[in-house]
Amino acid sequence: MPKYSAIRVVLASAVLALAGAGPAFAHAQLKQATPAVGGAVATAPMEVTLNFSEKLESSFSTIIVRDAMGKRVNKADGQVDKADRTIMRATLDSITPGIYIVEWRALTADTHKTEGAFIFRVGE
Amino acid sequence: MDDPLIWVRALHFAATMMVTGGVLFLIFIAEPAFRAAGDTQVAARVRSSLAWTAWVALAVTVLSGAAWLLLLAQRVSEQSVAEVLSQGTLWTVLTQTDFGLAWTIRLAIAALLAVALPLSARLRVVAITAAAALVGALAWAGHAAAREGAPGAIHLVSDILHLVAAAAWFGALIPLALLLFAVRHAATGLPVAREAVRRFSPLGILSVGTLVVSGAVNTWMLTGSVEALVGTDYGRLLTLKIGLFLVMLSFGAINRLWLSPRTAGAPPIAAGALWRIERNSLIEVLLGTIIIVIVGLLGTLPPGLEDLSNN
Repeated sequence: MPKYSAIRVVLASAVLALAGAGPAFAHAQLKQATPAVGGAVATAPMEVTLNFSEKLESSFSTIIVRDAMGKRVNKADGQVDKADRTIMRATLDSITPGIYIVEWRALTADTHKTEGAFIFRVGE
Repeated sequence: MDDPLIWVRALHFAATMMVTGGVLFLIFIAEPAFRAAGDTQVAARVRSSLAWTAWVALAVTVLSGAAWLLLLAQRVSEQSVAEVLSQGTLWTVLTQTDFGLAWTIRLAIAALLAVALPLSARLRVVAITAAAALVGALAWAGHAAAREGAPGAIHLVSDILHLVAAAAWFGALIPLALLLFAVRHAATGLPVAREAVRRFSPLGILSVGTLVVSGAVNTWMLTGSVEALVGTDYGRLLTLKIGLFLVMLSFGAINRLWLSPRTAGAPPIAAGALWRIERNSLIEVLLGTIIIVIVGLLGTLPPGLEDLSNN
């Protein structure tokens, strides 16, 4: 991994950690993610799936997955599952080993906005 | 407290409760009291002032509802008011969110109520149903609406009952005070006032009983532990709300247990008791208004249950 992209990841992690340290104002909490929050997977996943604690509003909930360079790697089809509105997913482009950042924003059915981000790793 | 959404929500809740409480009071308390007392002159006067109050409250309900929708659309899209209106965000919120659906249905209910509000005998059932639905459907703007499964359903039913009961009690207190004030100096006022107070008490007891049970269910659903009740902002505000409710309840109990029996006494004793009931009702309205502001604030905070699990 090029050195400066490692710095980017460290910086991004620091920003995320600080953002998370603010007052707990999260309404929809991210209960579970695939790939897992901070986890590593051996082979490149086809999609990112997020499980929330509450029902989401499709029109105002989004996922963006970026590579370590900040380039968007998910297709524009990211959306809330129609059958189970606590699930939001996004299909990925074919991605290479490296570190990826998932940025999500969610509006719950009771009109509360929340957002978050996490990192996962593909390969070694 | 500098978030306008808190105040718009509080105003909307208060106005909606005034509409519902006003309609229920007119139908179940005022009209039977007028009939029992057989006075058409004082009845006409009180009826028109109560109806006028309900119309104003309905207008405020619709306007504050519109402001709530606009603020929310602005909030979720992070756009200016002009952009929300010009870029169709308002329409998206209205047609593609649960809040928007509940909003549209409630606007239709408000329109139905406006038609039924002259309260002719034929439209009475429509008016009662629409009045209850207008306030009950507010549950879809609350935390219960975002929950899945059986807990979500229980919470939603409990919320609906809580809202209707709160409206039947709090919303009927101003009409009660208005009626007592209006008949105080009328020659035939005493029988109307006595009958209204007598009829208010079962409505009050039923509403308060429902409020206590549904309130306990909701508290459990939203905080889940004593720790969350005292250890989070949400829990502490909720505790304050319950405390104010208990004070409000003591004034209601004084009215019911001590003053109400005295209204049956000799005219000077009865008149004194009625004046105190009127005053206590206004104190209850004041306490209830503070409670509604707290409700406005609570809706913007994460429930205690979530706040604790986040730390």
